[in-house]
Amino acid sequence: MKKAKILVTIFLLSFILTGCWNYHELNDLAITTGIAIDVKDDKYIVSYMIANAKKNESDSNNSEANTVVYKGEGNSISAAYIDLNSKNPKVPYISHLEVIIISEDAARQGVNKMVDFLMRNPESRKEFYVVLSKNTEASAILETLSPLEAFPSENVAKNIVSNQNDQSTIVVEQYSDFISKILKEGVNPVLSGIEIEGDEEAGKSEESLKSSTPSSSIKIDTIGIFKDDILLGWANHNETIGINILNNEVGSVLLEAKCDDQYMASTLTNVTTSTDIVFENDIPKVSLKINAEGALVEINCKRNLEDEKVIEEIKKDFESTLLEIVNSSINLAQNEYKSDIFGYGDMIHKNNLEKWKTLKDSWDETTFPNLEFDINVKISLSSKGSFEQTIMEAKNER
Amino acid sequence: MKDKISTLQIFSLCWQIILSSAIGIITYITIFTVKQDGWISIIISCILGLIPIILYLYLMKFRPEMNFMELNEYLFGKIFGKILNSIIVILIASYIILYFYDLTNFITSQYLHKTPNIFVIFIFIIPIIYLLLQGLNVIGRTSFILFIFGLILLILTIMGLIGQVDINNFKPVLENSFGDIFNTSLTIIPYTSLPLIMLLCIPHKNIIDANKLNKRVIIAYLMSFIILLLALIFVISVLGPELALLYQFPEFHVLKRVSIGGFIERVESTLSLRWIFYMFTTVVFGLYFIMQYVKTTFQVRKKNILNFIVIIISIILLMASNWIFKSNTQSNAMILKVIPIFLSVISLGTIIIMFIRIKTKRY
Repeated sequence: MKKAKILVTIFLLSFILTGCWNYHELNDLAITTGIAIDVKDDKYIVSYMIANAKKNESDSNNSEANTVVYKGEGNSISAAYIDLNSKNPKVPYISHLEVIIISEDAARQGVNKMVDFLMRNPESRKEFYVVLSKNTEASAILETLSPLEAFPSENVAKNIVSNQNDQSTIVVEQYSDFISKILKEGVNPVLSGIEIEGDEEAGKSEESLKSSTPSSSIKIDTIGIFKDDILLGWANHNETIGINILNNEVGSVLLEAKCDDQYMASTLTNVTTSTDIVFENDIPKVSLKINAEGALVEINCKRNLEDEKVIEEIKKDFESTLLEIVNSSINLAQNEYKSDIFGYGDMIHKNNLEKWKTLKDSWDETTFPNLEFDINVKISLSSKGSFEQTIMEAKNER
Repeated sequence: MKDKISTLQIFSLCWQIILSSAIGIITYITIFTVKQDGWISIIISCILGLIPIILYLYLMKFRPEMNFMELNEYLFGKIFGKILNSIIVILIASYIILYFYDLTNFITSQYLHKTPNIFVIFIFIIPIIYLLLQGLNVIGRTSFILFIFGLILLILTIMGLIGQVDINNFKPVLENSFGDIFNTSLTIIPYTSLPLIMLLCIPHKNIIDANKLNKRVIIAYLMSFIILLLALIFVISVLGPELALLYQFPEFHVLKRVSIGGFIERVESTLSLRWIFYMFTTVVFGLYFIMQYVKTTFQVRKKNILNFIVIIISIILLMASNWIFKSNTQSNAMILKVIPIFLSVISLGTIIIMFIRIKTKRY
């Protein structure tokens, strides 16, 4: 009797332990690693970059990308997704999504209407990069092939990571953090912008990969400034670096300073900005202390680098250059866009709630644009590289 | 031996009963009502919740040979005792329905979002009924094994998230009024300390090392609250209150950020298994309470009949979770407003009446 019970139980269990409901075989999934969102005639155009396309499977080599981009159109992102799906024989699978690109035009209309679909979708992990496309359609970025990476989305993702470490002209913003910043009081988000350099159409062709000079490539060198969820405009190269310094989001920065009629350059590492907000007669004043370790990487003018006074002068030149960069960023945020992208309002909200209650309503329009700053920049120039002298100075001595 | 249980197993039961409300209930209540100040509410509710725990332990010891149902009949007489027991069983059934809905909703919304609820319910019904029919000893041992697995997953979670904690997310402190914070702590108690009333279905004499009972229950209670606090700290400090408020199960979404040594990642499904263990154990033990009620109140002595009744009740209650709550919007509204009052009035009311009855020696 007991054996019969066990057998019946095993028989019954066999029906429910066969696997998940609505499971999909790997072959039936279109692994999506990049999504682009464009707006055209008040409709969303959503592009999915499928990483496991079968094209060229038989004769593919390492430089050829087996990717395909599908596009769909609709009044909402989900409608565009369904439209896209009707053209695609596989089921899009977005758990491996690396990057989402929002076009400049779409971002200028506000991103809140676009972000819900991916946040709500249980398949989406929400931990992917979000960037903007500048002067081009977002889908074009997903279609621009790179000779160095298999997928355009991977090309963007790796560019973001390497840029953060080496150039600091990028904001490494993950999707959920970006949305968190939109929701927070007293801070506005920023997002990196990607441009395409070269022939956009030729860059989509695999022919361009066979050439030693790619027809086009992507460039990440600017930051888009938002107020709430609306893109207001862009920061240039130096302003971008300044914004990242003030937000404590830099790896290393290459700083150029005038040296006679030539240039000298220093790589700054361990750049830290400590921020303190004090109230003088109920008016907030921001005190910034920027510290960095510098290494002289190039100097093309005549200077005696063995003289401590000269080193001190060079250091001062770099400090004033850095101060200019930071000031230009503050000026951009305060006067041009009136957008607190540094989160000073958030700092007051968190540390001085009573004061924030009085400032909250006027923060973006009046208080932030009129904030006073006291900026102190300190660079310790500790390394000169392999040379003790400059070439110019050495030639002069000889 | 079949009805015996050790205090370590009771420890694991307490731990799991309290923490079964960690996902979808406690974090939801605290974040929804007082956001980053939720940690204060949890500490207050831990202190206040000790009162019912002490009362439960007192009642367990009062007549060691009796379970809760027998004690009520002893204190209030056959008829009134049975009525009181039936009211408490409605309370336990509410817990079972709520926790089981929470369990299936968590699974179908986060893991198997295209799977019908009824299918998930069916998968759980089989082991739940199997455990019930095996008796207290097997329930205790299963609970302890799941507790150990859960503990390992918890340690991995802490290791993976500790580096991402941003204390700034707790600021501004006391943005909400103390009244709101206190109200939230009162809302938490019905989901943390009050469900431990289920333990009263075990007669004190059936506890193997009963002299350690008080100590182990209190330690389990305090440690569970530390874990509840840690869960909230991770959710708020890693996601931030704004994002935490958006998610249906922020505790699950914070697990997506777990990274141990840069190579153990994308493990949220595995790490969240511990909540499934907790809710499963609580549902099983709640049904065991109802089984004891049926056995005592209706004097069902024949094992086959008892088993049949328990199977039917279990299936009805577990299926009811799918019928009662039409959506999680409805369950959330009830979790916040209706259920805490209902649970508090019934369980605290009963316990206080019992305590007064004992103290005034009117039995």
